[in-house]
Amino acid sequence: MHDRSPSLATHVTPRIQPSDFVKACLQIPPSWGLGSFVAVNPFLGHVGEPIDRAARIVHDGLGATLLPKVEFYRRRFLDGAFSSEHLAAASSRLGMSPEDLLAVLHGRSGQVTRRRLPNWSVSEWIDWREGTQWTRLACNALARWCELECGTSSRLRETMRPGAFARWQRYACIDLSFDVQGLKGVRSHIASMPTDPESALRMAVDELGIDVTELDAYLLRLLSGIYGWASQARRIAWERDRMDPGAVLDLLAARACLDLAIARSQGTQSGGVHAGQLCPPAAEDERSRLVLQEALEDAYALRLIDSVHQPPRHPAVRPWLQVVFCIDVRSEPIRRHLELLDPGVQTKGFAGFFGIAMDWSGPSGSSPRCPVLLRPACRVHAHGQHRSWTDGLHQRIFSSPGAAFTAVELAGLAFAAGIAIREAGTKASSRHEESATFSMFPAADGSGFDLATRVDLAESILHGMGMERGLADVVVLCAHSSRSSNNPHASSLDCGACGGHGGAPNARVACALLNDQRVRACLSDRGWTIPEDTIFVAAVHDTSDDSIRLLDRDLLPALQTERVGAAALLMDRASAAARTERAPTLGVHTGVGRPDVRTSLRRKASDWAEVRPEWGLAGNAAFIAARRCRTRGLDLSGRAFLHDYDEGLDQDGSLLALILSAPMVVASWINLQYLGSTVDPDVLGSGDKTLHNRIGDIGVVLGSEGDLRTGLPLQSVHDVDGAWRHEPLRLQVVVEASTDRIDGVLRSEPEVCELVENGWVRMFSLSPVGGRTMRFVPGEGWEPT
Amino acid sequence: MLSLAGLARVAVDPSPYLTSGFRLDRITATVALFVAGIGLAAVRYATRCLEAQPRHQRLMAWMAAATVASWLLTLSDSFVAMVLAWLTLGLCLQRMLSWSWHADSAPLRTRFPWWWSVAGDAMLALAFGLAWAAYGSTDLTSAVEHMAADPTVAWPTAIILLATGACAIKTAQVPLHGWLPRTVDAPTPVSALMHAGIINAGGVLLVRMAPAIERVPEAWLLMSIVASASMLVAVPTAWFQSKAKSALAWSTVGQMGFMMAQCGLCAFPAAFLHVLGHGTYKAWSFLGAGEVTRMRHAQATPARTLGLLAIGAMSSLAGLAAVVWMLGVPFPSTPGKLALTAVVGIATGQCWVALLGDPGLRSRRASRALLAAALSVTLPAVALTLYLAAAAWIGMSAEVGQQHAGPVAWIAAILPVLTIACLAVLHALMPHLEGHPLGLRLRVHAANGFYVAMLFNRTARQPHLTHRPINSGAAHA
Repeated sequence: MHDRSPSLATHVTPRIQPSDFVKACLQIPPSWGLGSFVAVNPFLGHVGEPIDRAARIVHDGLGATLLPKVEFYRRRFLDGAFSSEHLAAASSRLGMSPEDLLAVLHGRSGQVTRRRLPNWSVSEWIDWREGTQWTRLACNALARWCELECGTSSRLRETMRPGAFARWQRYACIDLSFDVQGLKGVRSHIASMPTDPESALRMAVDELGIDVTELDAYLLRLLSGIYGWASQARRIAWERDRMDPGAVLDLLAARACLDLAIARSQGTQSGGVHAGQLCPPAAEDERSRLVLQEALEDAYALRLIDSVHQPPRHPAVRPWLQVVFCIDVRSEPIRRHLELLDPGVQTKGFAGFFGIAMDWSGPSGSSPRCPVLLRPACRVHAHGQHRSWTDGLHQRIFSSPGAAFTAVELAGLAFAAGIAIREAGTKASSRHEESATFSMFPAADGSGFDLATRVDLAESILHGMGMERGLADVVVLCAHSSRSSNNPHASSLDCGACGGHGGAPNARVACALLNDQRVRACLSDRGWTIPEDTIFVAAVHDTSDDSIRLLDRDLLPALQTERVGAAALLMDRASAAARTERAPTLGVHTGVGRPDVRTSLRRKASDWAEVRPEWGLAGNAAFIAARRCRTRGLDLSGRAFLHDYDEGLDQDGSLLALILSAPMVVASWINLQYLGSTVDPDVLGSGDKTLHNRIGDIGVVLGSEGDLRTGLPLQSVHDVDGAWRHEPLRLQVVVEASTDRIDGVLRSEPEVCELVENGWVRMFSLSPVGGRTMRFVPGEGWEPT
Repeated sequence: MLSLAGLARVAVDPSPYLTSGFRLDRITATVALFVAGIGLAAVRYATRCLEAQPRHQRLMAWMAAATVASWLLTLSDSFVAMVLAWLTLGLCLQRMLSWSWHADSAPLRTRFPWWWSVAGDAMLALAFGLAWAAYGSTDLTSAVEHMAADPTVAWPTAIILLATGACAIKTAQVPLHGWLPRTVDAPTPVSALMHAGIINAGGVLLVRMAPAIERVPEAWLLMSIVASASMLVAVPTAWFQSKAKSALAWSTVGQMGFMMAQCGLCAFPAAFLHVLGHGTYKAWSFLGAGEVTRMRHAQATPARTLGLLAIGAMSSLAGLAAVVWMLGVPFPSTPGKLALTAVVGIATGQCWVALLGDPGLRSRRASRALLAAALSVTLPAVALTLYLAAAAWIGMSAEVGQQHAGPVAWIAAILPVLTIACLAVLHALMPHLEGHPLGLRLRVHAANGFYVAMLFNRTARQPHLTHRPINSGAAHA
């Protein structure tokens, strides 16, 4: 049964290996829950392939669109976003004819298409032939099991571990959905299969006669039916081991099992359903769209690189105020305004967790506050009120039968006040993280860290930020956080470097560390010179209304009080300018008789009906690792991640390796998430926000049933009239370093090399000494731009 | 919209009737105000949340039409106007349930079967037709008066049973509740409007027909059976919904079942209160469904939970006796009142469990115990006071209802109480059944809503599968 007789095969075909199943599962990217909704590259399983091939695979397998349709490029071309010169250059790089593509753009010739092979699952063939709905029913039934068993993150963790397949089998043998809908026998077929996922998969694949050449496509097609839950399962496994498929394998086995059970119940084995009975519509060719994409990106990147300043001839004067912001693209406008207001201010860009990879445990539980690529190294305990007995009391009463009936009758009308309050938009948001006292000293419960660790941390923070010399009197570490109401995806607007939370705790811990006299004493022993009167101040940039709040001012040493006050005033002015610049994109306009911008933005942030509280990182297109003097004063329209990098301070290139392998990778994840959610909100995004049906802290489902959705909501990337708010450009990585140094990093960091070589990001080198700029062409190497 | 609310408020003061095809009394005026309020909240919310969607004006127009139809249905008295409003409401509902943002694309799910709605409309029209044939009356007030005074049994029974059937469909009672969980496929404010406003149309009609229903024990029995079935199916289903909106939708089915049960007990003031309270609560919950997070708590042993439940329930009876003695009103004696008392008792028991059930919670144990004890007195007291106040407000004597307490009345009273008691015990035992095969069975079947809606949806025409991602939501027909 498990092995097909070799005599039946006319030629020797490679056997299906267990690793094929695992390989299929690893194509599913991990995704995080709503409490820490960090961006993930939706194509993470395909970064080993060139982007156009990957686009083909995800299109045929998942039904997802990676590169926009030709129509988009045509519109952008007619708008003048790129010219025929850009197209010519891009085509010659990729070896295609520019004339053909130009004809397509002008509408003179049809779109270039390619043939597409059908890769349906067997149940889809049956549905197509019989006009039934078994595939959808099967996917919904499996999703219902996931919902039932994984309603909260702790249950998710419990369920998505070894044995999930056997547990699903027990469930599916009870579930009468198929019987009720008129398909008998599914349950007994499921019961007859092995309880081990790999054996079950092998049995299904053998019995359905899936050829080894079609196997990958078939398995991906199966997974596409339970993509959202599979990506949650992948995350659980990912946290242990990145090459472990975890319960994705169990879900895949369940899909295969259902496919086989449906085929058996319908009395149809594979018998001749394949082989071109139905020719699927041809797909738009990915290769030619990649050329158009390159041309569009060239237009943006060359303009950006042209605008960059020449290296300065004189060393800069020592600033009185340095403000370190997160590399987040939303920092760029406020940094620009801050520096325009006062030439004595210098801003810097660094990952918003400020090098503090910690677990922050507050009253509502503990959560990791660092990029998901890292593991928290320590725990910091916030003091504050802990769980009170009234928490959840209302839910408990309203979830018990009897009490719910009586409570609704006796107290229901009181909720009218609740509606009125929410409609008036007055609901205070908690700022616990910005004010709760915390202790970073080692405590009995294992939280905190000892002096040696603190000194090491402080050293690595200063080194990472390039603050070896020239520290200002006041150094502000400015994290960011967002506010929105009734928004399941609220944490997608927070700091990704802090694991999808507000960054205030990280900034506060970092400043406490750097202000600590004992740490400073040890630092000076190690040869660091921190001026005695320099102080570090934590702050948080509220991205919903662009205000900046200084934190822990009462805890600061009594130094520089005047300068801190001046910094606060300056930041208020910069906030106002950045706010005015940004408000029109959110539909908030200034004018006579209108409330002022800040009030309007605040109301938006606290409005429970608001679906676009802010634009988050929409528009992101570039990652610039350079000294600020190269970009100071430039209007980058909030589209660039700005990381400080000074080749002169990085003797061995290790800092660049760190920047390209951590913040740059995270930025590309964000970039590709926005790209995917914009281009294909149905499959790669989570669809219309007004239909979101929230599942605890796990995710959302669209409407009443179906798979869990991944990616960003439609309203985060599409504007009012359906126009795309986010322009889908890949990340243009501009590094101020010699090509040799970048090559060194590409050799030592295979993950970065993969992204660059396969065209998931585009790399440019900006010479630190002269005006020379180079471009990395995959497969070719460096070329002058 | 504001003017509607204002109009209703003005009308509250002169409590007598004003008629000309419309009837303004305390019931209709209060409900009209409520409907207008809910409609206003939902439409206001929708203007901000949907303004960016294509064709949103159209959807908003349907929302407004549904609100106005419910409002007119509440206030109208003539049969023709009522049936027209009823039909309009059904149409609006149908259009909103199969809504899609783009004119050329299919809705999120398969098109919705419409025969349930038409069946309800037909039953109502038939009931009114019979009333016209029997009494020659063309408006509800006179028909109800005639029925209440009719010495024969046949006509009122037939009319009331038909009307009850129509109301059962409109309030999503169990065999025909399949549309309600699907309301979640509509945008948030639309679902809120459906669950808070539209669904109440049937309940209000029942309360308005109260004097006639009191004469028809068969109707009590019908309502009681339907209501118990609704609670029995919907309440456990709601427990096992992880999706916030779906849990709310299933809880609406259960709540509407309880409302229907109250009508079956002839406890119309309570049903009236329930309609208003539930609508408001549901609107609030739906509109804020984006931030609902459900918490699970450690549970005590079954003995502790059940013990607390029983002690709480008993103490509430003692509390009620004390309140009754202080107020000088007679202790409830009719089957209906006893049933309500029992439900309040169960509710008190569950409050005890909620307050004291978690053994891991150590803070403020004494004050929690005190609060539980206080609830045993205040809950019955508040329930009784509100009941009497509602009865006085809508001009019903608190003593009406079930004048002839025959065996039918007792059955109609015991059935829902038994259902709720069983559900309460099951709920208390649920955490301990988790590992048990029986618990697994219950979970699986309940998660599927006991398949009732699935059977019902089979009647819908399914679109043909085309080359699309398997489960991406949109069904492209």
